[in-house]
Amino acid sequence: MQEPTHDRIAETARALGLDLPEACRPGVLANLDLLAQHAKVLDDYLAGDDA
Amino acid sequence: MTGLVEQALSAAQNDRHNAFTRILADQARRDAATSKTGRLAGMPFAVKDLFDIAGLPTTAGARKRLDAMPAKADATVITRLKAEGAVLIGTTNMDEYAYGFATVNAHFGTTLNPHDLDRLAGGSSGGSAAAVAAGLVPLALGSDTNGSIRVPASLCGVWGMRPAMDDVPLEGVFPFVHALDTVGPFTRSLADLKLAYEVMSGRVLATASGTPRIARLTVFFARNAGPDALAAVAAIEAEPLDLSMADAARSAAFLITAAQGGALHLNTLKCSAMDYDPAVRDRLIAGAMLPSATYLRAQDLAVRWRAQVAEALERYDILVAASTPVTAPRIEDSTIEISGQTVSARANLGILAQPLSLAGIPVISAPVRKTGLPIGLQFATAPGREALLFDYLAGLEAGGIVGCA
Repeated sequence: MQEPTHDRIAETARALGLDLPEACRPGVLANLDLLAQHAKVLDDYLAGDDA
Repeated sequence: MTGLVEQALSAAQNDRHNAFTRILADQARRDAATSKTGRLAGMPFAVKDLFDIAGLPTTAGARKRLDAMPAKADATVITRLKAEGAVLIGTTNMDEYAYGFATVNAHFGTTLNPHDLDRLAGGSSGGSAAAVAAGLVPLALGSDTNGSIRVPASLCGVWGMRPAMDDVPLEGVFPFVHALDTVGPFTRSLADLKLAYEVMSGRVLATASGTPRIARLTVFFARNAGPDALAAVAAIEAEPLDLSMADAARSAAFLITAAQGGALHLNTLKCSAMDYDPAVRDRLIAGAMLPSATYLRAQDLAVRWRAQVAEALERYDILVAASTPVTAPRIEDSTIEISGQTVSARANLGILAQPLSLAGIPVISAPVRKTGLPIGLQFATAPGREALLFDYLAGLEAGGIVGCA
C-alpha cells in the first residue's frame, strides 16, 4: 500500500462521498499509517510464501 | 431469590468504577418477582450496552444512539438467560461501537479497574468485566471481535469466554465486524462460566475423558509478551509450538476489522462524523478508505491461517498463550511497551488475542493465581471440544494455578 498523501486522502474521501472534516485529518492520517504498516506485514508474508 | 437482585441493584447504584451505563431497577424487580425456576434462577446479570433490550435504545456506547429507536425484543442470548431464571439488572460501559481495548469512552467516561482505580479495565467490554471483578454481579455479557472479552477479563482478573464463530446467536447484538463478531460471558468461577455458556449456546456439555495434549504458543506470542505474561504461560505444562503465520494473522485481523467496521459506519459518518468519539471516528474513516486489494489479501491470509491452526489442533487439543501482553496500564499512560517498542495501548492490548479471533475457535481467558495486578491466559481448542477445555481448566482451577483471587 502506498504512503497516503493529503491530496490522495481528500480524493479517496470524495470518492466515498465523505466530506472529511478538517478535525479528523490528523487522526485519519495516523490510522492510515498504521494500516499501511499492517498491510506491509501481510504483503511481506505473502511475498515470502509465494516465492 | 429477590435478595440477590436487590443486593446487585444496590451495589450497581453505588458503583465507583463507572461500570454501568443504565440500571434497570424497575424491570429487574418485576423479573425477580416472577423468575423463580431454571438453572440460573435469581442470578442477577448485566450486559454490555450493545445487546438489544426490549423497549430501550441500544447505544453501542454512542451518545448519538441514546435517541435511537427502542429495540422491539431482547437479544436472543438475553432471552435464553432470562428463560433460565437470570435477572437483567443493567447495561455496562464499553468503547464506542466496540472499537478499542480500553473502555475509554468520550461520552460515557472511562471504566476503572477494580484492582487499581488508576488503571484501565481493558475493553471493549470493560464495564462488564469490571462489574464482575468488583462483585457487583456474578455474570455479565460482552462481545469479542478481536479480544474484547479476553482483554478486560485478563486485566480485571475474571473468567471470560469467546465462543467459536457462529456458536452463540448474534440476533439483537449491535454489529461491528461480521467476520469476527462473537458474544460470551464473564464470571468469577469456571462453573458459572460453563453454565452461562451452556445456556447461551443452547448446548449441554458432556464430561470429557482423556488427557489433553497441550501446546504453548511461542515466537510471536512470546515476543509480544511482557514478563508477567511470560511467567503466567510458564506455569502451564505444555510443549512449545510456533504458528509461523501468527504475525501476519494479527495484521490480517487488524485490516479486516478496519475495512468491515469502516464500511458498516460509512453512511453514518457521511452525515454525522462529528458525533462520534474522535478516536473511534478516525479509525473508522481510515478503515473505510482501505484499498479493496488489501482487504482481499487479508481475507486470503485468513483462510491460510485457519488451515494452519486446524492442522495444529489435530496434533494438540489445547493451545495456550497470554491474553494480554501486560497487566493493566495506568489510565494516564496512553501507551504500553511491547517487544521493546512503545505502542498505543488502545490499539495493542489485544495483540495476542487477535490471531486467535481470526482462527474462529473457542477461547477461554482464565485468571492466573498470582500476587499483584491480575493477568489472564488464553486456552483455545477446536470447535466442538469445549467440554474437554472446561474439564482441563477445572483441573487447573482445583490445582490453584488459575482462578479468581
